[in-house]
Amino acid sequence: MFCEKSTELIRDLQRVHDGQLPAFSEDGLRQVLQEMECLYEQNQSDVNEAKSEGRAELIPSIKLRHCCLLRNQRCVTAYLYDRLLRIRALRWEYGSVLPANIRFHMCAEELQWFSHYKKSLASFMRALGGGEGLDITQDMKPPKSLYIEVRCLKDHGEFEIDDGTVILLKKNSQHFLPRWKCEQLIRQGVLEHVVS
Amino acid sequence: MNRLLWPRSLSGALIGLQVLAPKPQTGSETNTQQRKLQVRVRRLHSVCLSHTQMDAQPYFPVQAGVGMEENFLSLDDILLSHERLPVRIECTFPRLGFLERSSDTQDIVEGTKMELPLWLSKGLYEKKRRVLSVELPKVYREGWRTVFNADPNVVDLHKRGPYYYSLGSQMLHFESPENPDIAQTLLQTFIGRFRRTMDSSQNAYNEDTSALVERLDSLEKGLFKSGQSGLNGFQSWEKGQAGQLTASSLVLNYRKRKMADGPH
Repeated sequence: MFCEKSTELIRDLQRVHDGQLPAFSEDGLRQVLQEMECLYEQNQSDVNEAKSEGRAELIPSIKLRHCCLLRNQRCVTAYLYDRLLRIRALRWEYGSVLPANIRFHMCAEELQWFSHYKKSLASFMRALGGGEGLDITQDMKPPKSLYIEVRCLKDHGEFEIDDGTVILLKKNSQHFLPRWKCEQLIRQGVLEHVVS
Repeated sequence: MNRLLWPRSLSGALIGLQVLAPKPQTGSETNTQQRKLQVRVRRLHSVCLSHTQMDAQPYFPVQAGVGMEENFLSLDDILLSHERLPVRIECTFPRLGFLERSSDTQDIVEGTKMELPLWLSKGLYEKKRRVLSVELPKVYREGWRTVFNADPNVVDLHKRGPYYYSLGSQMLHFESPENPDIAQTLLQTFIGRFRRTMDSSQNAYNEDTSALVERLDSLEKGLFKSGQSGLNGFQSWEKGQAGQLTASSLVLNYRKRKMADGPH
């Protein structure tokens, strides 16, 4: 049956449902496009034949292939679009620099799209707050205090806070840090927020 | 913003089903039932809303379509429309015989019975010309409808479905005298099962839910998940943990996978 490959693409994406990004299936995509080319050519020749020789009985087959073309188109569009949604989410989870193992799963165009998204988000955030800029990826939960107690879950090296003090983030050490400085590290699982 | 789509789409689904169902006779029984349903939907809204406020997930997949509509970009709908339906071909498809494995002819001839995916049947189906006729899958036929009317709770919809409701709504695209009955059964089945789904999702705290969800349809599973995250959110708020910053689940899952991959 036609369009099995394109559904396979969707199924692979759906299987990883919590927003993780599976590897870009360049091969699968190419096979779908090949199938579409094939369908298009067959349709083209059948259309010509139907027109020139008046063979109206070919029309159902033409329609069937056309449906398959549309289906493939839908699957590929949905595949690419859903991946973009996931990539956009990564910007909010990981910050502007992605770990290498995730970047490895993106194709060149997606990397380009990510950097464009990053740029437009950054320029939007700069324009906020009367020219001062506002980081809207911060404070996803309403803050209760400026400083919070955090515990290190793994060695992260040195870390500089606003006043210039450098802290060594060592595993199992506990610190009292400005909230906005460590929110990102908490999200990345380096620090743990300790609520007394 | 996207977060708010789910509750709306749910009530939309219900409204869609209600519109399709034949107008109820003006009996007080059906009226109370509808009122009850409204109350439940509203309660569910509150569940979903609390979920939206507590659980900030940046990735929102495209929501599935509502009622008879399919959403073009929704992965769920794409997989739903890949479900196979038994059809009877009513006109010859030249040069496509290879699609039908049981015969060696060059064409798909008139009268062939085969299984086609929903998207293809929907694309080829025409009301005016007879290109193909779609037969009802078993679970929507009279026999199963009696079962659903007797007690919807006993049926394993995951095994029968898992897209029982959505596929049923999609079947209404094809003209059949049974359509009003199908719509009515879908709605009644949903109503009949809803209470149990909601109760279990609202009360299973900190326990293994796999036994509770294994018999649910995909739509009900979504509801169950919503209810669970509402419950968890509320519990963590009660314990004063709502303000605690937590690591993103996406990051944690990535790390789990990395660790699982590690030793190899």
